[in-house]
Amino acid sequence: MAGKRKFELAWIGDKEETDFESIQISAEDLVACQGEIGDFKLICNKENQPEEINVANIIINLPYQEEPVLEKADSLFSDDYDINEDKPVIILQDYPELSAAVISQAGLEKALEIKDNYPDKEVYYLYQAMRFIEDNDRLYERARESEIIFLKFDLGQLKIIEEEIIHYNREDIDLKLNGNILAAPELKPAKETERIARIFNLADGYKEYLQLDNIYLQPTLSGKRGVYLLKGSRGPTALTYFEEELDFTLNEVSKNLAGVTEIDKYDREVDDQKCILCYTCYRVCPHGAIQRDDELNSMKVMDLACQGCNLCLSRCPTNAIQIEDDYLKIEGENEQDPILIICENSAEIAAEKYNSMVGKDPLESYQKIEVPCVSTVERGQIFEILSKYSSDIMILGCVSEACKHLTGHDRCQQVVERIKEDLEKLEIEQDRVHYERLSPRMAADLGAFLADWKEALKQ
Amino acid sequence: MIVGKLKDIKEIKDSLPDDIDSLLIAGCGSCVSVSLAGGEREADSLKELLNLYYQSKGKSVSIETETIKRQCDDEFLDELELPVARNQVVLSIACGVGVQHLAINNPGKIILPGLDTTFYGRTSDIGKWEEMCHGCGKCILDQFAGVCPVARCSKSLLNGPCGGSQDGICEVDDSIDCGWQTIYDRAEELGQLENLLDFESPKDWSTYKDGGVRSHKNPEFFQE
Ligand code: SF4
Ligand code: SF4
Ligand code: SF4
Ligand code: SF4
Repeated sequence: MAGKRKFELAWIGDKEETDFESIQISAEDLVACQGEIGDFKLICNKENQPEEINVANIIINLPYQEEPVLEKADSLFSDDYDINEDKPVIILQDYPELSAAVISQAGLEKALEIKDNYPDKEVYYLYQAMRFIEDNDRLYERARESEIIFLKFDLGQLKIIEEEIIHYNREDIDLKLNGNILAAPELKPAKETERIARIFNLADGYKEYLQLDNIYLQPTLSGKRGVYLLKGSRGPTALTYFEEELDFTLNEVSKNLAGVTEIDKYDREVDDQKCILCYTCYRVCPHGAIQRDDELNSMKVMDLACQGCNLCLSRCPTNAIQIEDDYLKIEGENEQDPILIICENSAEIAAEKYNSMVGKDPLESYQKIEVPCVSTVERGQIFEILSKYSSDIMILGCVSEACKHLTGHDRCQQVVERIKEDLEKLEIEQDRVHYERLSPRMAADLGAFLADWKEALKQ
Repeated sequence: MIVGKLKDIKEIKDSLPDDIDSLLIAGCGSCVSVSLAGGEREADSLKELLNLYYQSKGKSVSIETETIKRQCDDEFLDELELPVARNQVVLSIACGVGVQHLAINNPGKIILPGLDTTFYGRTSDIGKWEEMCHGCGKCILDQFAGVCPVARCSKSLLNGPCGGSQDGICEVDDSIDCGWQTIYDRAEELGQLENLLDFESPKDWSTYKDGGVRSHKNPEFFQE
């Protein structure tokens, strides 16, 4: 849109000071997000002006919801807490579940603050695990010196009676503590999280936060290019290294502003005559790279957002998405050799490593199909291979947290299970399809495992 | 939309005649494609699976696939004419409507269903569909806060819930939400709880199965 102002960065939720030309939008006011990295269009309700915002990068920075763990206790984060003259103060961390590491820091600071203001007050510090990030060890030392009493517990050693009496029972210590409790609240994702996940079409995250537990997303990536997650959008551990994560993210934004290129050289074209707008591709794309093309009334793949996994191609029920790449081509010299379908992000890398370690290519004497993600595997394709070749098929996918395409490994496994079920029902070829997961680091495992498999095949 | 589910492959295989020599798998490009059961992709993988099966039995059966926009309208069937003619058997993976429309247009041809037509439903998640309507012929959604008691109450009660509603779950199965709980919740949200206090008299089921086979005409196209 000519003449329309474009921002470098949009903050959804809380804003941090930066040098970018940025705009802040509240999560409640955001209605939709279209477009891709470098050229997002955010649509807002009338509360937010302008209603349409063009922006190159997006940071979702929602606060946590703090949920109290005990009704009568004060929050460790609150500055407004009761101090009762005759009773001790009890700091409670890791109850009922382990708190994020950053809480150790807040707890120690709070304990010291109380001890500084009320030197005669007995302060107990109950915890399951003390996490030593940043200067926690120094704080801990100071706390011990100022005679704060640290009591470590395992679940089961602590009982809360009537919300203000804590019964601590560990080995030879049996204590009933009655005092003002300052408890670490449980951190929950913000109310708007689910809506925001839908708006950005992000894969469902860990414990309902927006980020999946996956090494490719560390530290603040969302899976959708140009969209980053901080604090209560990212997950329970995001507070611990917030400054580092913010630096990383802003640095990414700068790099993006300097220019982004497509991930692979292929165009994925949707045939508007075949597309029935079933939205399957939109729903399965792990990178939020598909949107509806209103002019053509069909879907379209956004080239900068696309990460090239081909999951959309393998799931479109009408075969409407096309690519000029024969990505299912079988390579190999001997038609009798077993067939490997390998992911270029795990098995392929592991094999190269094995080769440089041992001086032998573990994939030689196999026929190979190298895929950008094993989620490209389709039932029809596997049945076809089974009827054309006499050899077994091994699919080597990724371990969950190391799948570059986030949900790809799971989707492949589901397909393989359905294949096996069908073969079993027809009582044919049941044992010819195999599926294993690897990470790129598992070079030695790959070598050993392929050798075993080959041995088993011989028998 | 009409939701369907591909039949168990064993059932499909058993339904095909023993002396089969050629098979057309006919897909449908509308409803059942959306429910990921009867479209081009499913037709293709079914073909590959049956190919593999016949090959393993040492039988030679030629199998082809053709998917058209809709199997329930005459005009689209043109594209199927030749493929139907050159194959001994047709396995349609459209809904039951499509299978029969194909049969009506191809007397003398064996047309088999490859799909179970399950219900009229909505997509509730990737690869997941939920029943919403029974096609009763007289819609009463306006009286029930927009939630259908016929389709979404397991017993189609018009005065509910029954005693088997527990914490919003239906006694028929743990995985089913109580339709009547949903009706009350939505009515409360809309401030329409009052409407639910009156006794609902029995519905006129003559527009549903009780009135026999149904058909209707649009008066703009017919003169009485
Ligand atoms: S999956 Fe295929 S048919 Fe469905 S919306 Fe995407 S491109 Fe269109
Ligand atoms: S190839 Fe993968 S990343 Fe690209 S649009 Fe398709 S599903 Fe999304
Ligand atoms: S035959 Fe008609 S009603 Fe049945 S699935 Fe196809 S388009 Fe839908
Ligand atoms: S009342 Fe009848 S037409 Fe209306 S949704 Fe229910 S079954 Fe369908």
